[in-house]
Amino acid sequence: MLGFYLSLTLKNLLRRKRRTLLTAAAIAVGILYFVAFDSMLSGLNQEAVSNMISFETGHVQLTAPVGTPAPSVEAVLADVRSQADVVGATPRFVVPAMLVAEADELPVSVVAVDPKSDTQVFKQAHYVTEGQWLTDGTMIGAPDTIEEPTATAPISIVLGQRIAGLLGLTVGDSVGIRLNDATAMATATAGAPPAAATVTGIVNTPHPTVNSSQIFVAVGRARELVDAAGVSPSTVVSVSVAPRRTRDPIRIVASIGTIAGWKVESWNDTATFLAIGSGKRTYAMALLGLVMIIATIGVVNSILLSTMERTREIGILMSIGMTRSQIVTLFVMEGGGLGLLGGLLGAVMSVATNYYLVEVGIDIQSILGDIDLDIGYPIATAMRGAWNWPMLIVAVLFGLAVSLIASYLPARRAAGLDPVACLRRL
Amino acid sequence: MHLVEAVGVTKDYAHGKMALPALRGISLELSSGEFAALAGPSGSGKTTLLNLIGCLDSPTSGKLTVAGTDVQTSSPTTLARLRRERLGFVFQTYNLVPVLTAYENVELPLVLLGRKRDASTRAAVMSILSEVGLEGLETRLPSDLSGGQQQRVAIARALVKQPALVLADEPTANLDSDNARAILDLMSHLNSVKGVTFLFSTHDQLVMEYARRIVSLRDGKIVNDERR
Repeated sequence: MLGFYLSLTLKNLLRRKRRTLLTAAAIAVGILYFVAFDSMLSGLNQEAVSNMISFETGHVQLTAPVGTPAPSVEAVLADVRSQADVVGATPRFVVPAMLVAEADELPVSVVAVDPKSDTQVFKQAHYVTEGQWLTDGTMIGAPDTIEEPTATAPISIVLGQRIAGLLGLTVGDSVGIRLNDATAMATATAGAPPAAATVTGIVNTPHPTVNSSQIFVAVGRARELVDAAGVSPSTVVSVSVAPRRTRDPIRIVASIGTIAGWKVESWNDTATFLAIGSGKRTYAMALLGLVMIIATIGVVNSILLSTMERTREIGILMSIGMTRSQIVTLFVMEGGGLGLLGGLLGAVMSVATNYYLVEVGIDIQSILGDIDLDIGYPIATAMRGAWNWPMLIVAVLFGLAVSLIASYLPARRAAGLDPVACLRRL
Repeated sequence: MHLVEAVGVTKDYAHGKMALPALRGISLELSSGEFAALAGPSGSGKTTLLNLIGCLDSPTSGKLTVAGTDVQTSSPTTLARLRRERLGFVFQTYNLVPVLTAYENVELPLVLLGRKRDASTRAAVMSILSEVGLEGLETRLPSDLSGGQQQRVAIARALVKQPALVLADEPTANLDSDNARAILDLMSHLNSVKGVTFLFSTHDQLVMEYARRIVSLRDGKIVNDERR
């Protein structure tokens, strides 16, 4: 019986090929739209999280109280490194500054890094496009481990590519750094000459903030700058953990535990953009509903037209002994067939489109031009999608369910027809 | 017990606020094995009576029993089962399902009866197709068959489930005289050999020549019931 129904359904769908294809296409476009939108949102979030972890926070960030002495920081570092699943920990501090290049000045963030351990947590060193990553400086609390250059030598800095572009800098160029007072946001050393620095490397990372506003200085030389400026930045210890623990930030934080006076946060605690993503996803769902309403209208229209065109046939089937529920089943299966065809089309189109979105992405910069893109997401100039197979399956099943439900009413209308009136129809 | 028993059956059709009577107190009995025709001019009520006996419609008043089932009081599902199991229909315009082949059209009533699409079903379908002279045409769609061939498929479809009664509404109206005679020969043969009961509605003189009982209707009433 089911085989017969399926065969009859297929034949009926093929009877009006163009209409079937158009209706299925409407469902397919709805699915494609949803999958692509979800892919872009997931891609944005994935890339943003990845960039934040790789360039901003690590998996866990421990913020020291202001004025914490270097030995205390080193003790915390040693303690954290001894924890299970911790693969690296590095100290950093950030101070606002002005980068002076001849007559030009640009507000930047000086990021003091420990070149030796920074690569255990962060990836800036992998994105050096010119020159090299920092090699000089000292470890906090371990001044003898690396040879410290003389205080009079220019400070080696690595800067973001956008900064280099804006100021026309290249490797080997001389610049000046003038620190700001982090608390008062006033130029504490405005009257003093800027500290001499040399560009030793330029990085072009997927994180726009790094490219546009950060300069990296070895922590030992950075300490000279802050001491001279009278600034007391707060040291942050960033921690990288084993891959199997990276998606479980609460447990990571719990495993590190509390350290007196220090603030312990996971990447998830600082990812404010995730809330933006959640809002956009709700919006996407609402739009999906709208698209599915259009698909529903298509299915209802298609099945309704079929029942009207085949009124006489309905009468024949009734005269042969088909019950009303069997008539309903027949037309609902046609609706299901439309949904299935639309779902398959939608899946193929979605996979093809998503492949492009994941592998190539949408180059925002080529669309919008060379502008500073600050959209609340730490992402680069190309927006990339992400594979989300469960969501694709959900979308296809949703399309199928919508089609089945949408075809029920016209099917019931057909089943309620008077067989005599049906047979009288020419 | 008669296959069909009608006592004082009336059927009114609503036309706006008016009720137009199509049948006015029909009383009729039809026994198994009969080869009968409902005759009369257009509008006399032949098709209406045939539809009532076929359980496609229900009487406004009176009592109508078909194969022991009260048509007026039975549910649509019961009537559908009765049509599926005991009745066969042949229509003027053949009324085949256009997307199904001749074979599939004939197979359809058996599928609805829950028969598996196996060798025995295939044998039954092929046997009846052979009996109506359509051997070798089973894979054709209705659109690829002549009017006479389509009507043969319709007859095969009506007979394949071995119904108690075959109702034929103007079965020869769209056929030329040669085809009409061939169809009537076939029906008459099936009636004589297999004992299938036939009830026609017709105003075709040829059908009346074949019929062994003619029930004449005029203005919704039986005016003559002649057995030969």
